Amino acid sequence: MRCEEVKKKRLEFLDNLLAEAERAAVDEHLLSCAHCRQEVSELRASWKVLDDFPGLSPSGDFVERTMASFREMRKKERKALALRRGVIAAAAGVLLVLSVVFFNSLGEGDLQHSPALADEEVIENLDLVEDLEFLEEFADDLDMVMEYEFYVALSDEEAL
Amino acid sequence: MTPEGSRDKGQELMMKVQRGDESAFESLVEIYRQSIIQTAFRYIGDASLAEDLAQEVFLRVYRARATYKPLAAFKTWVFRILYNLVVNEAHARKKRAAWSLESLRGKERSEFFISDERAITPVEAMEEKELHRKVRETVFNLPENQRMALVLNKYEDLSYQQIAKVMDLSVEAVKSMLFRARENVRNRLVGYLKVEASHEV
Repeated sequence: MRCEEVKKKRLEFLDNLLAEAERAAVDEHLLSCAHCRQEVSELRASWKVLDDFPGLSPSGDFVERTMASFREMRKKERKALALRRGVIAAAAGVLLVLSVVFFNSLGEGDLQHSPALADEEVIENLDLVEDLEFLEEFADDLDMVMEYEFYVALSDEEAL
Repeated sequence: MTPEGSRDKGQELMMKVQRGDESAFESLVEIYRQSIIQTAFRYIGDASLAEDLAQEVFLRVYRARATYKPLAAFKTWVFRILYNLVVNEAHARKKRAAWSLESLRGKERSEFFISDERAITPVEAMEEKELHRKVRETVFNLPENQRMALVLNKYEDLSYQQIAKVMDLSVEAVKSMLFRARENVRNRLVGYLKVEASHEV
């Protein structure tokens, strides 16, 4: 294994994550390469030194303070939910009222509609109505004329 | 999704939180506060802000309960929330340079809660203080992404795959980041190293 290849595998080598065969190959290279050996040793040692990064124990009242913030947050959530529900209920109520008003207005129109339309029909079709009246009168006269012609015809035949 | 029988403690508690169990939420805070505060502190270097950020992480955990799915280890999911928070905070503070090392200089050891106290000589105390300062300086001087990857890998034992999920990166990108982070650490601490003369096989 060459130095460049060892460098690529160095991280996993240091973390003991290489497969057995690869680890053996890196070990073999390190035995004969002082430069890589020095680098790996320094990396290992510096990683160990990081253990000296002081930790931080949580303050004694951290849980208490966090739960107080949590309860405050829950209170606000519940208020917001109640407000949302109130708005939806109010909106539903307004919609209901509007629907009743709308459908009521539709019903009143229907009752008045036929007579008004009937009047309109008479006005639009006034000519026809007048013709109809004439025809009704004419029909009566027509009967009389037809009877007269019949009798005229009858008398002509008798004359012959 | 993690099968029910193999879920970790955090996942189990989070499923209870999802069902409305608020005491399960308090348990989560108790169990995970140490990890989150430590990680936040090692990333930003400010003890008080670390606790504020940790608190915000827990509130966000609760707010996300409706859409939570146990797809990854609970710790991985929580660290993802922390990562997003500290990245946003870092961008906001970068302009004010509030996280400069000057804010840490002059801080005595007593200002940090040291987890393991032991009897040491004055010389050792001075050397230790200097070493702690140097280590903090080394970590804080890393670029942000390298710093987070290193902190998660070194102090929280997260695998490359878990770090990739936290930081929304590929595993190869995480490996590359850790490689560079460790090179930077080596270069900065080389004067403090006691390197073994012979290679251990």
